[in-house]
Amino acid sequence: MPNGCDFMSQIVSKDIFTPEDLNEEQKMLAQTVEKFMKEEVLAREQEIEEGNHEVVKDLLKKAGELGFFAIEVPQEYGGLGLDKISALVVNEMMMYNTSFAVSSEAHITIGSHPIIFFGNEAQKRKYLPDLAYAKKIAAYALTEPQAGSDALNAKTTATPLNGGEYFVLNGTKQFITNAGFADIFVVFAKVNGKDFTAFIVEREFGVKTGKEEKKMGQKGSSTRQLILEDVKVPKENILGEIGKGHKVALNTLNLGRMRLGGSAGGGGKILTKIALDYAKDRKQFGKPIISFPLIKWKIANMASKTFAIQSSSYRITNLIDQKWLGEKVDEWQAFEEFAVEATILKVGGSEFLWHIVDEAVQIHGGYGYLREYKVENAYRDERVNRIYEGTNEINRLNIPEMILRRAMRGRIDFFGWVQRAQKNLDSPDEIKKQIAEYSAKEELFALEIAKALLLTESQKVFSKFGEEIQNEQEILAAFSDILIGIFLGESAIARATKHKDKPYGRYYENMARFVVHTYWPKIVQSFEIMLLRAGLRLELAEKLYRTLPRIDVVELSREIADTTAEVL
Amino acid sequence: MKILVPIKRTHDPYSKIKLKPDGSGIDTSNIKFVINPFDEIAVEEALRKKEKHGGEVVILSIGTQEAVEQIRTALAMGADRGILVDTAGKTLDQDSIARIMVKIIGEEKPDLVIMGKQAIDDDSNQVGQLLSEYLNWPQATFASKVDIQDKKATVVREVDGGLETVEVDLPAIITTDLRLNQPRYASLPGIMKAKQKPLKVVKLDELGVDITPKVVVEKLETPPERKAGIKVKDVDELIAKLKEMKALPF
Repeated sequence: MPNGCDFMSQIVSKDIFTPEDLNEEQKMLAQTVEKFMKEEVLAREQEIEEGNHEVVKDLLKKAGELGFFAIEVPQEYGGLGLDKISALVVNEMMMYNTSFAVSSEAHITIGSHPIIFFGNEAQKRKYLPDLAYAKKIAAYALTEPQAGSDALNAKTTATPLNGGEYFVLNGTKQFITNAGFADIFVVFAKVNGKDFTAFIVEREFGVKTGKEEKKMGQKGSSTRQLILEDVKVPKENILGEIGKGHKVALNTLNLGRMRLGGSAGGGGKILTKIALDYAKDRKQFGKPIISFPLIKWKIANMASKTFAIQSSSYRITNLIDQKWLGEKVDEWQAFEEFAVEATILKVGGSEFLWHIVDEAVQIHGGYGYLREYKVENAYRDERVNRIYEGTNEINRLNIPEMILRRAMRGRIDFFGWVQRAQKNLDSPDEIKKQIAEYSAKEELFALEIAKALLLTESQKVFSKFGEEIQNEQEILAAFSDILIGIFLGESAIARATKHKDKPYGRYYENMARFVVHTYWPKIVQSFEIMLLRAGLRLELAEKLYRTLPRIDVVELSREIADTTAEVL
Repeated sequence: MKILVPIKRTHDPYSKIKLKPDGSGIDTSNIKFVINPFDEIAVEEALRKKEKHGGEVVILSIGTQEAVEQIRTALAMGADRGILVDTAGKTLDQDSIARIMVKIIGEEKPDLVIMGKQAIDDDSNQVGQLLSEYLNWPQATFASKVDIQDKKATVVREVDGGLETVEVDLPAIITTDLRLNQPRYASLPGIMKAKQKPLKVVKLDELGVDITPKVVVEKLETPPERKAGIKVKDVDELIAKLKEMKALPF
């Protein structure tokens, strides 16, 4: 059975789950959602982008009737109780309109999952059947005006009344998606000003909301303050235990990060198609601009990054399914197990999507700057992905922190991994033998060396700084950047390997190679940051630099672009 | 009431079509497939009639194994069971299709057959009419409204310059036009239920239908690309140009 962080000490399996492995039902779910998005949501896109939240609310209700939000609700509570891969494919398709997607995510992913994960029987019976079909809409209220990244430092209070029969909530929650029309809020507050606790708060208990925020993007989603002034909540609505609110908050975010990273794959695919169609159509100097090499480079970059995100998101999501369905652990525990991978996917996915949307605008030239073109709006909408579900900075710190905490608690055998890594570095031919059958094996070899070096060198760095390492945020971020590159790159290679005998095997291999080669300088630079800061020998980084054979990436990009133009 | 709905697997109307280099047909690689949109309207109409009058909706498709995908979609919309006549990739003309359907209809004995007026791939618009001839059943084609009462169907047809209302005795063949209804989405619970619904596969050979084609497609061609236009100064120049091109009758 798979465990979290396994990838740090193992060669990626040739049999990871990939988008090509979807079953018939999963493909049909995707098709229905795609059809709905194109016919119902895109038809009303103008109103959505003008900030008409009623339209989004109507569409959420319609999508709810069709069962879009029932996927993850257990069958006992009226849902479909499907696996997480099914949720991912639906999630990807929703990215045809990001305002709709983010409203959906706020409702089902972070709004309803606290109840799915931690609700008691009565709470599940009461709320889930309505949430599954969007008869009621949910929202998640953690952030406060002065407590953003420092979310557990909330000021909202819950004061017991009548010997604890009721709790009176007071405080303000900030940036609450769906606040304009949500019926049910999962609110975090401190009981007696100290015990951080989650509550299920119905709108009818008397909550107020602030004005609609005027945002840079995601204009169709409703974002307001949630204002709690003496709101009386019965004790039956405590979610989980008093004082255990962080468990609800953080585990919901583990899922949220997974989904945000996963949706980037859907967004990348849609944007690549839009940019490609434009590049085929737009003529300059007497020919379509897709025939110019610098445009080809952009298409190759977009297609390859999308490929890497999807390879990673399907890989982890399936590992979570294996863990959850195979080992019969609680769902939230499966997400917690893979929290490091989810965080990698969140940061890597959102930043790859940022590069993708930027290329999409650039391919459109001046037209990409006009509101009339979808890429303009996509460009603004994308920006927030690097901010919410934990800023990418906080998440970059979280990755090594989670790993170190697991090492200290003995959940992972970090020192054993370091020793094995040293052995690998001493006899690299052993690695070469093991990966002989892989696609893009030279690139995989370089990533394996980087992986081993990250373990041996970071151990030196961590022991040098001790507790002080938390003040060396740049080192921690560099550590994360290396790991992100390794994970996205090896996932792409594994997917290419799995399908190497298919007609598209070479195309996949090309994209996997392109991703590794274009990310590689960042890996090398991140090693330099770590090693120089810690006063360690730089030769290792220089040696690493030469591990990846230098190839003609231009040839690669042209071929990827030509194939993309044919198949997409 | 038992309603049979024949559906065809066709390319997605929104996808761009490329021809095979030799012109023998459409290049189907990298193309999305859907239920022929007119047939999807037929599925919707059948489901509405079932909801009103009770009974059963049976989906029939004639094609390769891949058409199972479209049958499942119709089942996910709410149809009760499906039949695939597996042609194993043999090319069939419209007449053969109609005669295969006659066989299946002989076994199923539906009260009504509703199908699209034509498929968007070859636009031939023949099978419904042929079927009516072979079965000796009345036909009401290009339906934009269908009412069923007392073993009769009242059908409003869209004809040039207006609407025509016809009444046919059941069993009958109805073919659907675009404005008959707006098909529903296959809901997600519907999709999950669809895999439990019965789907029978019949091999074409077992039906004993002579499939010697009466019509053979020789070649497909894309229309010539439109040439760029020219700009003229005024009406006089326009008329002169049109005369030059012999585009005026005088």
